[in-house]
Amino acid sequence: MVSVHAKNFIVEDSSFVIGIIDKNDFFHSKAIGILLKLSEFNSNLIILIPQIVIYETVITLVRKGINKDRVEESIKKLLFLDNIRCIDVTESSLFRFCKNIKNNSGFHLLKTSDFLIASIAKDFSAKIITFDLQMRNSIKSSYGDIFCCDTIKDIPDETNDLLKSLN
Amino acid sequence: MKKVIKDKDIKIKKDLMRSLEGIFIDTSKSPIKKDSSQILNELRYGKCSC
Repeated sequence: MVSVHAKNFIVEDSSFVIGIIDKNDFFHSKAIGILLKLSEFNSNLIILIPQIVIYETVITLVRKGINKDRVEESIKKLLFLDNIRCIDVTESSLFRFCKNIKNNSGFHLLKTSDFLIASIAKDFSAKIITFDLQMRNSIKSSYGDIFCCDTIKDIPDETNDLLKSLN
Repeated sequence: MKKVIKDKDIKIKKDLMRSLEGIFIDTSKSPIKKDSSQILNELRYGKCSC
């Protein structure tokens, strides 16, 4: 159950969750810095982690050679943190998400994982945070509240824009 | 008043960092030399997009 009293919702993409968990990931210190900044919002901010993000994180870290049980333990601890919630895609939400699929919405052009992440974000009027520039560019035209939180290629770091947009 | 809020923020951050310690995984000894971000890109797009 997600508290409806929070003023802000953030959806974390897999690249961000992996950045938090993997101490040696290129984005680790950036991800932790942002997480600490978000903690200043206390109960005014809820971080949502979609199920598909959990799957992608587990698969990525197992492919990296990490023991599956160790990865699961880490994710369980992450989900136990205050203000972090795992979001299930239920039957009713799935049909609600399908309403996003209109020819001019851009949602019909998204990859499955991007579609689910963008739909969950839209459902909660949440901001999406990612380090995946390709995903950011794919979603941006159909759902504008997505922020790439590091300077990647020609896109400048959008962390400040994200923080300014929060209440 | 401002100092009390600042002290509270620092405590929240310290508590969060303590909680995060058990979450971090040291992948430096992994035989796979690719960065996790690279592996995720391959999972999503079939090849590295970097």
